[in-house]
Amino acid sequence: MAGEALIHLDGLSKVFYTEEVETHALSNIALRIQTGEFVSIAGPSGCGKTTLLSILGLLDSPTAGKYLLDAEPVENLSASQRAKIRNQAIGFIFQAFNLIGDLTVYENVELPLTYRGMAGSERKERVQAALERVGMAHRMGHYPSQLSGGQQQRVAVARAIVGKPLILLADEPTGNLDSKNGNAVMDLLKELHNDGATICMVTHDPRYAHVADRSVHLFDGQIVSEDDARRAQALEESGFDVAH
Amino acid sequence: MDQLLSDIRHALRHLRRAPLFALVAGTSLAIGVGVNAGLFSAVNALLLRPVPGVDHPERVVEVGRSNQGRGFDTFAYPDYLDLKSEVRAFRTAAAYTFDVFAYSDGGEGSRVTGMSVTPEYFSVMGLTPERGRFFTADEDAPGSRPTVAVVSHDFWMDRLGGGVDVVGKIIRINRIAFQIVGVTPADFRGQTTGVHPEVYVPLRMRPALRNRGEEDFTNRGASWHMMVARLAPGATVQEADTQVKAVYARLAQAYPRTNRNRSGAVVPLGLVPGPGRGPVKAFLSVLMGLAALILLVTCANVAGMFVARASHREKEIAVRLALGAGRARLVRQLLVEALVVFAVGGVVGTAVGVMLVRSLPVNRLPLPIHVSIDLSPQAPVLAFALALTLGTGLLFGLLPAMQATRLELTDSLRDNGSTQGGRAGLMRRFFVGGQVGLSLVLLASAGFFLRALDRAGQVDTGFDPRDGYVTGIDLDLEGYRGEESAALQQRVLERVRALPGVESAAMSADLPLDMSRMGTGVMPEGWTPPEGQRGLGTDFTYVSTDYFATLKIPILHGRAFVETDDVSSEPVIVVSRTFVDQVWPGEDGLGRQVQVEGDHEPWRTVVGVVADVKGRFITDRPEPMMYLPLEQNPHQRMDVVVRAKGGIATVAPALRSAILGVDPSLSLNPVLSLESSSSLGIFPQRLAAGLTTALGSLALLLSALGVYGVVAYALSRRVREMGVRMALGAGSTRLALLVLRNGLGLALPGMLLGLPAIVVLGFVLRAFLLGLSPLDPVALVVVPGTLLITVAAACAAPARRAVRLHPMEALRSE
Ligand SMILES: Nc1ncnc2c1ncn2[C@@H]1O[C@H](COP(=O)(O)OP(=O)(O)O)[C@@H](O)[C@H]1O
Ligand SMILES: [Mg+2]
Repeated sequence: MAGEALIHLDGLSKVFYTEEVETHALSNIALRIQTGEFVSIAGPSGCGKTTLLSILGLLDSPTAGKYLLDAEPVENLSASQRAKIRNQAIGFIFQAFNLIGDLTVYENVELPLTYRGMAGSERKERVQAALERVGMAHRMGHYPSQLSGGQQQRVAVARAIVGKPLILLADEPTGNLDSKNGNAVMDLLKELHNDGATICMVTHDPRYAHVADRSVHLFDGQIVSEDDARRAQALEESGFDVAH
Repeated sequence: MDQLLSDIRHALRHLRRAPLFALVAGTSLAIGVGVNAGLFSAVNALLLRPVPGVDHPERVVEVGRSNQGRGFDTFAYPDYLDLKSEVRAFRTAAAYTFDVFAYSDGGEGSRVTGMSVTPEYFSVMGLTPERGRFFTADEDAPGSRPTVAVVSHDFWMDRLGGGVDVVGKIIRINRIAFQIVGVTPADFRGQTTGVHPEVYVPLRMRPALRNRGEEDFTNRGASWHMMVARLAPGATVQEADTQVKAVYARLAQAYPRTNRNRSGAVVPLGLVPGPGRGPVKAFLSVLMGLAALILLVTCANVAGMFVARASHREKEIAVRLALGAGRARLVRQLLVEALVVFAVGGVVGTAVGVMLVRSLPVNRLPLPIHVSIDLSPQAPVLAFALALTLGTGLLFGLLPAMQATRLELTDSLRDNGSTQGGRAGLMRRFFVGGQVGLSLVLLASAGFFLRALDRAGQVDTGFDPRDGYVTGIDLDLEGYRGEESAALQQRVLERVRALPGVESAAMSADLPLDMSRMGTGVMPEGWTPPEGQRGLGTDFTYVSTDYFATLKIPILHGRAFVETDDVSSEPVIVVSRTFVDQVWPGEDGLGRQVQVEGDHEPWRTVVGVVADVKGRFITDRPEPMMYLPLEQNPHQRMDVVVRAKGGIATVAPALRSAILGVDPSLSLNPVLSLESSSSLGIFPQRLAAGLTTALGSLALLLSALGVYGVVAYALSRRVREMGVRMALGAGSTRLALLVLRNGLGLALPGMLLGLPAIVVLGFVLRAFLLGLSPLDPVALVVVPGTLLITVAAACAAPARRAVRLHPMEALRSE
C-alpha cells in the first residue's frame, strides 16, 4: 500500500547555505500522505514548516532524500515540467493570500487555467464554480484591495481549487486573519476535505491542528512524536534553549 | 551643515543599496544635462562670449549697411568717412576687410589670413601692441606708399621664429615687401570666430595688393569693406543706430543715384559677425529647444523613478513619520538623495558633453579655408550646467519628495497582502512614452537625411566628379598682371595636361556644387523680359578650353570653346539648356546673341548649348547658366580642375609640382578631389543627418534607459507576484513575456503618436530629400522596427531576472 501514497518522502533533508552558515532546515524527513487525507504540520516558528511545504509544492528542491509525487520521482524534472506539475497537481494557499493586485477576483482565479491553456468557455465555467464554492461569486469584478482579509483568503482558496489539483498545500492560511475569519476559512477547508480533497496544512496554532485527520510535529527540522513536541514546546516557553 | 552632511551620507548609503536605480537615473541625467551643456558651450563660444582680447568689448559695435531695410552689408568708403565724422555716438570708427594674402619667405608661397585696416582699427579694438606700434594716419593716406605691416603674435612665433628683432623685419606679401612695425597681443585672435588674422596692412595698400586702382576710395557705388566702431562715453548702441540711420537718410538725399535705398544698422561686436548672427542664432535656438525637450523628458522620467522608488519605501517612510520624524526633515532627506543623483549625472554629463563638442571636427569641414573655432569651455558654461543641474534637481527632486511624504499612515502600515503595482505609474508611462515618441521622430529625420545622402550619388548633377581633382590659383595674390596672368595660366594648363595619367585639364572661375555662385544680369536677343524685370538673371563662370570635357558636361548643341576663341575673334558664349528654354523656347539657341548688363559690353554669340549643372546645392532647380571663354575674358582667380587616374595620393603631389614648376613661389589651394569639393553641395543634408543621428541616438539611448528603468523597477515591485505566478504554474516564457509586454506597453503610445508625426515631417522636409518619398519605408518601418527592438532589448535584462527568480525566494520577498 505504501507505494500508492500520493506523497512519499524518505530521508529528505534541506540545508541552506548562506554566508558560510549552514542552516539545516529539514533533516531526514520521512512522510506519507494518502489521497483524501487532511494532514496538518505543526511546530514552532523557524522549525522548517514552510520549507517542507515548498518542497512538497516543487517550489524548492531538497538537498538530499527521496520524494515521490503520485509515485513519480520529481528530482530530475526540468523547470518547465515542475511548473506544469505545480499548475496541474498542486494548489497553493498562502498565509499572506498573495492575490495579484492588478487583477480582478475573476482574473486571479482564472490564472492557473490560463497557464494551462484551457479554452475560454471552460475556464469561465470552472472559475464560476470555484468562486461559488467559496461564496465569493458576487465579488467577481472586484480588486483584491476592495476585499477584507477573510474574503481575500476565500478567493485564494478558490484559485487553489479551480484547477482540481491532487493536493492543496496551505501555509498558515489563518495566520493573517482574526479568529472569526480564521474559523470561516478553516471551515471551508474542512468542507473541501469532506468533499474528497487532499490537504496538507501548516499551522502553529494548536487550535486548528486537531481539525486535521493527522498531525505531524516538526521540531528543529525533524519530525518528532506528539509528546516530544509538547515537551519541547513547554521547554521553549520556559525559556530554555533546546536546540543545543 | 552637519545635518546636511549626514543627509548626504544617508543618501549615498541608500543609493549604494540601489545601484541599478542610481546608474539608470544618473546616466539619463548625464545625457540630458550633457546635451544641454555641450550645446550651450557652442552657444557661449559663438554668441554669448565677448570677443577675447578686446578692451571693454561691450563698448564696441559692428556697423552694417542695409539695402531697402534688409541685410548687413559692406560699405562704400565715402559713406564710411561720412559716418565716421558725423555719428556722435562713435568715439572712433574703423574700416576693414578680411583678405587672403600670399606670403612667401623665398620658397613656395602659402596663404595667410590677412586684414586690411584703417589705423583706427586697433584703437577701436582697444589693443596695445605687444611689440613696436600700430599704423599711423600717414601710413594710410591716399597716394603714400610706406609699405608697413603689423603681424599677429602667433604669426610672429610660428612663421617668423619669435625673435626680438621682429620689428623692422621685411616680409613679402603678394610679392610686395612690407616692413613689420608691430605685433598684436597674444590674447587677441581676431574679432570673428574661426578667423585668426596673421598679417594686417593699411587699408590703402589694398589696391596695390589686389592690382586695382584708387577708385574704390572715391566711388560711392562700390561697397567693399566693413566697419567697426567704439562708442563714445555714455553713448548707447541704440543711439549709434539712430544716428547711423540719420546720416544715411541725409546721404540718400545728397546722392540719390547710389544711396537711394541705403541705410545702416549697429549691433554689438560678436564672434559671429553681424550678417551671420541671425541664422546662427536661429539654428542654435532650434537645437537648444530640442535639447531642452530632451532634458525635460529625462528629468520627468527620473522624477518618476524617484516617485516609484519612494512608493517602494512607503512603509519605511510611514514608520519614520509614525516615529515622529518631521515631514520637513523627511522631504529634505529625499530631496538630498535626488540632488546627489542629479549632481553626479550633471557633473559627468557636463564633462562629457563639453568634451565632445570641443572635439567636433570643425576644422575639417569641407571648406576651402582653414577654420578653427575655439569651443573650450568657459566659466559661463559651467555656471549654466550648475544652474541647470541644481534647478532641475530641486524641482524634479522636490515633487516626488513632497508626494512621498503625504501618506495616509494607516493605509501603508497595514499590509493587506496583495501585490500592488506602484502609484504614479501613469505619469511615468506618459514620460517614457514621450521619450520613445521623441526618439522616433528624431531617428526618422535622421533616416530621411541619411537616405537622402544615399540618393545624392544617384542625383543627376550634370557632371561627373569621379577622377576629378581641383586646386586654385589666385593671381591677384601672386602679383601677376594682364598678359602675364594669361600666359601663366596657359603654361600651367600645358604642364598639367602633359602629366602622365591626366586625361584632360581645364580652369574655371567657379565650380559646380560648391555652395558658391557668380551671378549677373543679361539681355538675350529677341527676348522680352517679364514685367518689372530689366534682364535675365543668370549664373555664369569663365572657363578655359576643355572645361566641359574635363567635367564630362554633355554638349547638347553646337560646340565647346576652342583655342581660336580668343581676343582677336568674335566674342562667344556657351549657355545651358535651361537658359535656352527660358529665353528661346523651341529653339536650339545657336547663333543667337546675348549682352551682359553694363556700359561697354559687346554682344556675344551662342556657339554651344550644354546640359544643366547643379551650381551650388544638390537640391538646386535648373537655373540659366552662361559660360564665357577665359581667353576673351581674363580672370585672375581660377580653379584648376583635372581628370586623372591614380587617386588623390598620386595626383595631388604631381599636380602641385607641375604647377609650382611654372612658378615655385605660387601659393596654391590644397588639392581636393572633385567629389569632396562638390560634397559641399550636400553639406546641409550632411549636417542635418549628422545632427539628427546624434540627437536621435541619444534619445534612443534615453528611451532604452527609461524603459529599462520603469520595467526593472516594476519587476522589483512585483517579485512576489512573480513567485505567486510561478507557484500557480507559470513557465519561464510566460514570465519573460509579461516583462516584455510591460516594456512594449510603455513604448506603444509614443510610437502611435510618433508615426503620424514622421509622415508630417516627411512632407515638411520634402524639399531637402532629393525626391525621397515622405512615405519612405525606412522611416516608417525600419526606424520604428529598430525602436521596438531596442525597447525589447531594454527589457531583456529584467526579463532574464524574472525567469531566473527562485520561486521560493520570490515568494518570501517583501
Ligand atoms: N532561503 C533561505 N536561506 C537561508 N535560510 C533559510 C531560507 N529559507 C528558510 N531558511 C531557514 O530555514 C529554517 C526554516 O524556515 P521556515 O521553513 O521558513 O520555518 P517555518 O515556516 O517553520 O517558520 C529557518 O531557520 C530559516 O531561517
Ligand atoms: Mg513558515
